[in-house]
Amino acid sequence: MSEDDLASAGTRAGVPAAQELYAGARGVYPDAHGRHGSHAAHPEHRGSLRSYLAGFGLSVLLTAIPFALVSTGTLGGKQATALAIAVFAAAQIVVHMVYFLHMNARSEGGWTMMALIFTLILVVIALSGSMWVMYHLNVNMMPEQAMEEMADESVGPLPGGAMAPTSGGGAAPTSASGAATGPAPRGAMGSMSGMGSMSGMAPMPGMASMSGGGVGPMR
Amino acid sequence: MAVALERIEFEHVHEHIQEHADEEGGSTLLGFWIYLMSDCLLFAALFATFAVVGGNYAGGPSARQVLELPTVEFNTAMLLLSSLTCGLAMLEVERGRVAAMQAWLAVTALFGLTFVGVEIQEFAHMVREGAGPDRSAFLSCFFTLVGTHGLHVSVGLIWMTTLMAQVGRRGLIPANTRRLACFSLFWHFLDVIWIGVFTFVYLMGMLR
Amino acid sequence: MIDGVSLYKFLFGRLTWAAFPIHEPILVGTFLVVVTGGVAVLGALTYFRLWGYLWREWFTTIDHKRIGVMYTVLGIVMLLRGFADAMMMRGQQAIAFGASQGYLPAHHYDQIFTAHGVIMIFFVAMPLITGLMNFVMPLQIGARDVAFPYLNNFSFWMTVGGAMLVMVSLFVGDFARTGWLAYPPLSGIQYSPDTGVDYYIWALQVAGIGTLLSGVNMVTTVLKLRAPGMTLMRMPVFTWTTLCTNVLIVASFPVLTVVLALLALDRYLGMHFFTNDFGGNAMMYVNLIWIWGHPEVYILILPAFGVFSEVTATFSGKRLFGYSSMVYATVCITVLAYLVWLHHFFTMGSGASVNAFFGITTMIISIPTGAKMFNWLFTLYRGRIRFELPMLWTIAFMLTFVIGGMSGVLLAVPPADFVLHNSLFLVAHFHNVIIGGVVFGMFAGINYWFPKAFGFRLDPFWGRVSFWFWVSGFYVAFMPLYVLGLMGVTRRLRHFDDPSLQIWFVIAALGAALIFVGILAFLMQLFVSIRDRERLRDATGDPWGGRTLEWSTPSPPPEYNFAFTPVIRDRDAWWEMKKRGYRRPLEGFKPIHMPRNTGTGVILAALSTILGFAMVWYIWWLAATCFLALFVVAIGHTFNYQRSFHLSADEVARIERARTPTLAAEG
Repeated sequence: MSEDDLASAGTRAGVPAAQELYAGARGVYPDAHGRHGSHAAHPEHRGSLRSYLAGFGLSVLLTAIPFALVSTGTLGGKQATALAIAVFAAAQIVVHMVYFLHMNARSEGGWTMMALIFTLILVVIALSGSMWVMYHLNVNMMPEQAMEEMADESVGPLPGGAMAPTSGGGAAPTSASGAATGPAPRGAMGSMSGMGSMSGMAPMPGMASMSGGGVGPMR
Repeated sequence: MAVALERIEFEHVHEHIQEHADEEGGSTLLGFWIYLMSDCLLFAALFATFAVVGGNYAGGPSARQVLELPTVEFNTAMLLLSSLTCGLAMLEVERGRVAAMQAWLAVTALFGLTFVGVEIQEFAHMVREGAGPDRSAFLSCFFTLVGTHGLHVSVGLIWMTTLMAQVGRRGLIPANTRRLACFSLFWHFLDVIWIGVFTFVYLMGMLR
Repeated sequence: MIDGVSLYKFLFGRLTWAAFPIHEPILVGTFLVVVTGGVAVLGALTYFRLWGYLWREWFTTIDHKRIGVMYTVLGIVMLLRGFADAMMMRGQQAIAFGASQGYLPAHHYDQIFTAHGVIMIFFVAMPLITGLMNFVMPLQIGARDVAFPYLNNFSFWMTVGGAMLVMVSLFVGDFARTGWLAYPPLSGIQYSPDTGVDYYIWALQVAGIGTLLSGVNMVTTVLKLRAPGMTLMRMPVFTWTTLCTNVLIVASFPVLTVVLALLALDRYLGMHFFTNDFGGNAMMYVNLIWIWGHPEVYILILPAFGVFSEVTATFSGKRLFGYSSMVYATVCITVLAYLVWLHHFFTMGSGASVNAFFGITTMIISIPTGAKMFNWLFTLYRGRIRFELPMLWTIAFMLTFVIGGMSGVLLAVPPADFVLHNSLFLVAHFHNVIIGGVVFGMFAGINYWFPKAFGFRLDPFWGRVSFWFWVSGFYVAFMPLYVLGLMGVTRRLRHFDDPSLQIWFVIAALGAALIFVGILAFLMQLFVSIRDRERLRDATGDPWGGRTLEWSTPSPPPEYNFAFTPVIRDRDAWWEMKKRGYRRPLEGFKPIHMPRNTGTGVILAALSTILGFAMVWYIWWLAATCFLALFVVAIGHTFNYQRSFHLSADEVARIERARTPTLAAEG
């Protein structure tokens, strides 16, 4: 019994019988139920000794090559090597998915594949998105970076690595009463920065250090 | 007539649904797969953190200085072998051979245990050298990402032991085969994560 | 000889008498009220011998309907706590001008606004939507229960565990003073060395695991347990939104788990993910937590959209207009929810290209939402609208949510956001959408499905009182905040120098008082309804002329929901069955396979909660013990294979006979 069988074994035991009796109605209602039933009838991709060994062989190969590339430096350039090993990793992941995890478009009515694709999209979004966003943050906000060209937009960044620009004095320029809220910098750490301006309250240590510039470089 | 027909429909479907109502029924494997997908995103967040702050050595040792390729080569081999033996155990489940299945699981556990052991030694060595997780953002990321994977493997070992005991007691009853199927998914999934770890943490670390 | 101090430290970690706030009159007062109330409730339970009943029938239940009800009760109880925080803040801000410092010291005030946010999102909104989804979705798809009933019980108790930790922090130690997302470096160990952030971390971790597992459970349920004939495009819209919400939960809560774990590692093991030194990057925390946080916004609002879709169709007596576009809009929102997170921190400084991208995606996501709005309007168009309570809430939602949505689109413009970021304008905006969307939606849902859960309707008079006070209170409380925000007043301030601002805060406080009356009226509505339940009794099981499957069952539905699984032929399954002159079968029942109740969920969640408490106070031995015990209990549970029983055919027949004669479509 393959694991895909196991997937269905528990539920489907009673189904074929029900399917036959239900057949009269099935033509009229081509439905989820029908799908489930038919899928129980055909055992899905099952692992065999052959496929496990093939998968193992392939993954040994796909592991050995990148290790060799890195330790010998055959490809010369670091960029080229990095790209190559990333491709090998992707290939190996596919191998594992197919030979070990028995992924295919049919199991569980296609939902496992659907879930996997959706997850991969989100993984790509989270990974590349974070790197993109944080890269630009570093470029824009690094203390050693030349900040002069940005300064005249009145977004003079503070020397803290993570500090955000203030928006011109912290209060909306249209309102005189804005001043009443104190000269709180309103930056990204700003959900905290509001508290920094609480009168009658001991200055928040976090604020002190964030605007004080005693922050280590980010890199 | 219409009423009678309806009755027939109801009754037939009833069988189907009765199984559905069983908690340990056919939803288990899909449910577990969905859980694995969420686990995948958990690792994605760790990888993202590694990608963003993993290069910040803060004057501490760099990846090149602390990571050793032979160790990780050995450990990759251990995991790959364990994946193969886990697959072989599943083939025995299919054939209904309990003893052979238990044997392959035991071998799998042995490989897994070696993996965890070597990883703990690697960690201990690094901490002794002054490259502990509190030394720099890079090392925090390294220990957390690799350690989370190791933690998953350790949980897998406990799970495996439990399953061996349960199969020993009750044999390959449907409930147990279902659990074994879930376990094998988990174990192979950890292998997939490890591909990411050795590529992006170790190999890319060597290139930095 | 062990020295006393170290023994004490070993036993109690950093927990000392100083952790109990006996010197703070407000807290002592609260404590006394809670203790008096608690003793009264516990005493009453003991006096009426209800403990055994509660344990057997409710706490250990694996019935999705009862779990749903318990989630809702948790949400309502925590609403009272969260709202008390809101009242205190409004009171403080209304009087703390010039020379007056108000009545809340800064250190207390900061905890209150943090606790308010955390509680309202995690322990009010989340339990309420999870409760509704739990109760309604399996009934709508014709299932007997969710896919993993045990897990469901466990998930619920984990949520309770998280709520308990937050409540405990009120009287033992402090809660976080960081704002509801606990941004580092303020939440790092250096600037928040006390227990507040630790309570925050562990409460959310415990509750978050529960939420994640419940998400897995419900996605699987929708995918696997639909009745025959119910294709995806025949699912009720509420089931669709449930599916999408839970997909979002499964795909975003792991990120919250990670980011809180990393913060915990920074705090406990001195790591450097988010610290200012040694290469940490605090903005990475902000980035990660909003990768979870933005989907979370849609996790909250989608089920409410589902409720409104059901309610508009039912009370207009029409099919929902544009079903397919509604479904596609929901799916679009689900995917787009992952592409907008940076709009929460435009001011971080990622630059124009990044901000432009996220600004545009944010504006795009308002399109499917707008499409939904038109669908509801067209459903109402030429319908026979009945202005029952759920419909009232829905109309209030449409008006209010559009305003909130518009201010949201305004904030999506990065330059505008630079002016309004972190201001009260933002506070007004998200209260506008959360109260106008989620809270109104939950009230609509509670009023709509209450008769299904208990067999009698909620009293309409007190319902209307509650409705009008809530809605008018909302506008009075939050419109002034838009004004103040545009004037440049930032959020989370405890004291103001400019007296000209005071009037707006006083108005806002009055609004909060109106909402308070609304909440009291809601409690009154519950009380009156229970008292007059015979007057409000609904014997038909279908009090509103419903369209979806849940109304085909008796109220309350039997434990197994459906003795025979219905066959679905149309989108509005029950409506179609009624039109065909459906009759309930009276014989031919078969035994039903039912899962047995279990106390494992309660025990595991209790252990997790104690584990969290021990970690907060550095009581390592207790933490280790709980951790081990968790494994032992969980593994022990898997050795139990006798988890179900059969409800005999006679028993089923008896239960069905008791209910069928009175049901709506009978005869």
